[in-house]
Amino acid sequence: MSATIAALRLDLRLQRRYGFLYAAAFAAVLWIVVLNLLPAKVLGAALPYALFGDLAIVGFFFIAGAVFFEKGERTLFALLSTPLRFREYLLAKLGTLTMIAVTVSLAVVIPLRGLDFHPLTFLAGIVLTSLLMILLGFVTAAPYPSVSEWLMPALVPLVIVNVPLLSYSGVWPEPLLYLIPTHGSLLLLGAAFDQVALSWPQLLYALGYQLLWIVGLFFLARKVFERFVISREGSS
Amino acid sequence: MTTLIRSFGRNDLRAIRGDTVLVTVLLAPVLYAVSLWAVPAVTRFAAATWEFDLTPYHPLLVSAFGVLGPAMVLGSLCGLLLLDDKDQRTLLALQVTPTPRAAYPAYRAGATILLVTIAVEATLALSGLVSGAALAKGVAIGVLTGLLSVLIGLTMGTLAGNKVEGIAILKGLGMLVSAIPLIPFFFLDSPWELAFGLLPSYWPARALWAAMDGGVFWPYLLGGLVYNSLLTVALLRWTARRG
Repeated sequence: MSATIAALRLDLRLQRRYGFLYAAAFAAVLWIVVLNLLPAKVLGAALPYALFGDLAIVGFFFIAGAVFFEKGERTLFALLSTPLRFREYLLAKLGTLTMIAVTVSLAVVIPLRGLDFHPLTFLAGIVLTSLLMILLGFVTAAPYPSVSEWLMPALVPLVIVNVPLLSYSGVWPEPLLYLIPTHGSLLLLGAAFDQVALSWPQLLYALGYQLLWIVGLFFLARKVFERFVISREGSS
Repeated sequence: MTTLIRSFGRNDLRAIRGDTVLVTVLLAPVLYAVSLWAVPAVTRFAAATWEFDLTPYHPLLVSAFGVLGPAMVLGSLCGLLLLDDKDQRTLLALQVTPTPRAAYPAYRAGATILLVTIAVEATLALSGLVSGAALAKGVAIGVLTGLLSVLIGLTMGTLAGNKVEGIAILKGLGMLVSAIPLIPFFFLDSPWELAFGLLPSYWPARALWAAMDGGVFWPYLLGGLVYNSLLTVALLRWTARRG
């Protein structure tokens, strides 16, 4: 446990050095400005989209940037020759980047809405979306030698996770879209602002299905890491 | 000059395996155009559900997905390539050759403008929401969007020390490029909308709205070309100076 805490602290220092904290804060300020222009009655409907489309998914790009950089600078190999294990390394990344996502989301929502939202579904929505997107970023980025080459292929998973926007909004009520885990993210964020009334099965689906994906991607991340990062010390 | 462009171009194709660039130029417009294919369905849905007519907002959606989206993606790519060069000390190596100092960044800018113009025109054509007359103007809007991508790339290339900082800068730029310029759409009759012209991303979006709504188009195009070119030249000079 203490190794994880140490890794968390180290990683948070890194995130600050990379400029991620400032970038996230800047984006939050701009979101407040934009959302503030909306009429009050539309704000509740707009917030889930803003949170889902940008604030909760910062981790997707940040993890890729960090992994490519740490691969290139050889810090990853240095780290992994210490007693720190891959599991702790990845947990630390998931922890810090999700903390950023939660902080930024709260920093946007509270000035605009005060405490007028359901904290449990809100937190569940942000945390699960963030974890899912960070792991997706990690798993898709690892096979590529550099961030420039990953940027384009990364658009494909980004488009796929956004497809449930159609089912969530009701434009394309296709039950099959429940298979894409981000449909659960949207349900939770929608429930947080009273946009959807969740039935128990829906709530179980939103929590359980995303967790299933997160656990699966976590193990896949290890596989991908061993295969693409450890076995060939790639260049950045 | 042509020799320069040829040799830089050849090196590009070698460095990032031509298919990456090709896939970028092909994939980005297709993905954005596909997103726009949902617009008619969303419009019907809004009309049926809330009796809300989305049609007047089509130019807004097309500017977000057809202009600013591709600008952001290809601008990021331009920035990442510049940071690649920084890592590999390409600029340093070029200084011992007789090439003029600004030649390399200028080539990178030119290549980006060309790619973005193709991508924007392709997205607008594939979207099915843009009339023939507006498509003709789309080429000029594409060039203007290309200048915006160059600005995104140069900002990343100059402000970031490495690619991880580049990603952070990209995150900061995201809202400035893809969201803030859409605000003036809601008060086009107020002179205040021009205040958004301080953002280079305002001009291509504004020119597209004019092209699609059949309003006055040229002032926005020319204003954007002049303003964004000035910024580009200033940044290019700064980049060349900092090497």
